[in-house]
Amino acid sequence: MKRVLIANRGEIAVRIGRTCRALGLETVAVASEVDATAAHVRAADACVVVGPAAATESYLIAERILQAAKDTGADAVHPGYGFLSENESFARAVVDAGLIWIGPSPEAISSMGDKQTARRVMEAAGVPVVPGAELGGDLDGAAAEADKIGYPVLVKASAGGGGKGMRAVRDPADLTEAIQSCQREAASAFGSDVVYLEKLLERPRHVEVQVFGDSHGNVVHLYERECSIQRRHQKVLEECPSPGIDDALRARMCEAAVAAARAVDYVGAGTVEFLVDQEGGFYFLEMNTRLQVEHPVTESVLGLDLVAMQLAVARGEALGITQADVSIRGHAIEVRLYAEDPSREFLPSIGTLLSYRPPEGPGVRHDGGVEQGDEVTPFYDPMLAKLITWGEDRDEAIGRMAAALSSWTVHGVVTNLGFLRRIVAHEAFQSGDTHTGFVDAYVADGEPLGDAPLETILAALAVAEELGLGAAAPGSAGGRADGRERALSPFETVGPWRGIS
Amino acid sequence: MSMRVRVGDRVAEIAARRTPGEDKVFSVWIDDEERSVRATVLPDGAFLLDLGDGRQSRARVTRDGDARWVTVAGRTALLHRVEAESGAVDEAGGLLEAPMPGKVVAISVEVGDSVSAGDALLVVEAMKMEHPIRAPHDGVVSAVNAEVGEMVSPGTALISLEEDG
Repeated sequence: MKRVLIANRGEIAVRIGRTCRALGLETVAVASEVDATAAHVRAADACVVVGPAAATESYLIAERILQAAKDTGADAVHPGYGFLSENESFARAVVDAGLIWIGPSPEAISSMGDKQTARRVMEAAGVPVVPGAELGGDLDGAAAEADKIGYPVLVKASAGGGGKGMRAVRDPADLTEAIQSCQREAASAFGSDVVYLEKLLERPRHVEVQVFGDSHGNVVHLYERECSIQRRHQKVLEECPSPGIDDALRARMCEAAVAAARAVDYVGAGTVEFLVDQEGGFYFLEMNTRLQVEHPVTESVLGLDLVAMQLAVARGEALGITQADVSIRGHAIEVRLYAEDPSREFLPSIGTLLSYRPPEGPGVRHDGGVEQGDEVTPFYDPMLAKLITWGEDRDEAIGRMAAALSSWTVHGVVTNLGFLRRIVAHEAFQSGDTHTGFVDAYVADGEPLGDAPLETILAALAVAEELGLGAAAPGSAGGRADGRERALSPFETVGPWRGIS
Repeated sequence: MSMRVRVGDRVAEIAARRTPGEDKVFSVWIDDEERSVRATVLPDGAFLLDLGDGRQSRARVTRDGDARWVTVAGRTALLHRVEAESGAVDEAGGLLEAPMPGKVVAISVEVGDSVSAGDALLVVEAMKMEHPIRAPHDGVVSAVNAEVGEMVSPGTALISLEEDG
C-alpha cells in the first residue's frame, strides 16, 4: 500500500489523509466540480474531479471513483463514512480491480447493510433485537403490522443510516404519508426505497459498541460510545464512556457486540448500535460497517488511531492488540458543528466562511472539513467539523468543551454553536441524564444561560462600525462587502501553498 | 453616525463615538440609551470589549454586505442593517416560499383544493433531507407555481393560499 484514494469529502477525508501522511502514504482526493478547491482537496497529494455538484453525479458514481484510482495509480481505497462506504457492489468492484478495500468484506457489508437481514443475523447470534416488521408493497399490510407492534413506531429505510430516511409515527392516520415520504427520501439518498417498521422505545439511551476484527480471526471491542443526544435521529453529541451504564451492563453489551461481529466474520472497523431502555435492557439497532463519525471519542480515551488500524488490517496484518490491552483512560466528548439555523427549524445555512477560528488548547481536538474562505454549498451534509475534548474525568471533559465552544468563531453561515453550548451548559447533561428525547425535553430555542446579552452584541457592533472593523479576511470573499463581484485571483485557485525545495 | 439594525425581531438604533482624548473609551448609544465602553483593538481585527464592569470579552465583527456577524464571548448573532423608515421584515402574505435552495420532490395539492393548517402541501428536498412545506392556516390553494423535479431558490413563491372567506 503506497497511495490511498479517499472516496469522500469534508472532515472525514481530511482526517483519513492525516493518518495516511503520518504513515508515509500518499493520498488521492476525489471531488465534485464545486469541491475542486475544497479543504479535503488541498490536503491531498493529488485530486481527480469526478463530476458535477450533485453527489449522485459525482461522489456516488462507483465507476468514476474506480477510474480515478486507476488514473492516479492508487492501490487502495478508503471510503470514509456515507457515500459509497456501505455499498457492497462498490467494495466488490474495488477488490475485483485488484485494489485494497479499506473496509469489511462485501459479504459483511451486504448482510449488515440491509437492516432486516442484520436483524435476522443478530437474532441467530443471540443478540436481542427491537420488535419490528418488514414491509411488503401494500400499505394496508403496513397498518396491520404497525398495530401489532404498537404505536409509536418508526418507519426506517432499509439502506438508511445517519438519521436519514427515518420517520416517527405516533398517530395511525400519519402512517401512510410517513411511509411514502420515507420511501422517496430513501430512493433518492440510498438508491433503494425499501422501508421497514420498528417499535419506537421511549426515552432510551443510544449506546453503540466499537468492534474491530482482522483477517486472522481476532475480534476485539473498543468499548462503547453514548450517542443519546440527537435531534431528529441525527447525533449531535457523543461521549465515551457512557454515563448511563454500569460495568456489568457494559460488559454484557460489549460481549454481545463481539458475538455480532464474529457472526459475520467481521474484518475492519464496525459499530454495533444498541438502544438501552430505562430498565437496563438493551436491543440491537443496526451495525454500521464503516468508520463512524464519532470515532474520535474512542481514539481519545483509548489512545488508538482507528484509521491506522483500518489500514493495517486492510493490508492483512493482525490487530496487534488483545482485549486485555484496551482500557479506557479519562473521558471524551464530541460535538458536531452543523451549518444549520436553530431559529429556523435547523434549516441548512449556506454561504462563504468569512471568519472561521476553531478552538485549541489542552485536550482539544478539531476535526474540520472547512477553513476560512471556503464555501458552504447546499449539495452535501451540512456538518462542517467536529470538536472533541478529553479530560481525566467527565467533569473536566465538559469544562474543556464549554470553554472550547465559547472560543469558536464562525461567521458567514449560521451554525448550531449556540445550541451546542446550551446542551453542554444544561444540568441534565452535566449530571449524565441523557436519553434520545433529551433535545426535545430540555433544549428549546434560546441562548445559553449566562450568555452575553443582546445589548453587548449591539454595543460591540456600534464600536466596530465606529472603528471601521469587520472587513472580511483576505481570501474570504473580499470585495463582497461593497456588493461588487470580485476578480478571481490565481492564488485562490491553486490550492495549498507549497514550499520550493 | 447612527445605524439601524435588526437582530431576530428586535430593531435597534445604535451609534458610537470615541471620547476625545481617550484612545480606548467610547460613548455608545443603543436606542438613545448612552453608556461608556472600553475597547482595545487586537492585531487580528478582533477587539476586547469592557462594558464598564471591568470584565473584558473578546469580540469580532465581520461585514457581509448589509449583514453583520458579531461574536462576543462565544455568542454569535447575525444582524442586518435596515433602512430608517422600515424596521420590520416583509410578511409573505398568502405566498408560501421555498425556505432554501432545493428540489421539489412532491406536490400533494392542486389549485382549488381546500387545506387545513398543518397539511403538507409540497416537499422540498435539500441536503439529502426532505422539508415539507405546510399550510400555515386553513385555506384554498389559488396557485401552484412549481413542478415535481424543479430546482427552486429561497424566496421563490411556490404555492398561493387564500384564506377561507
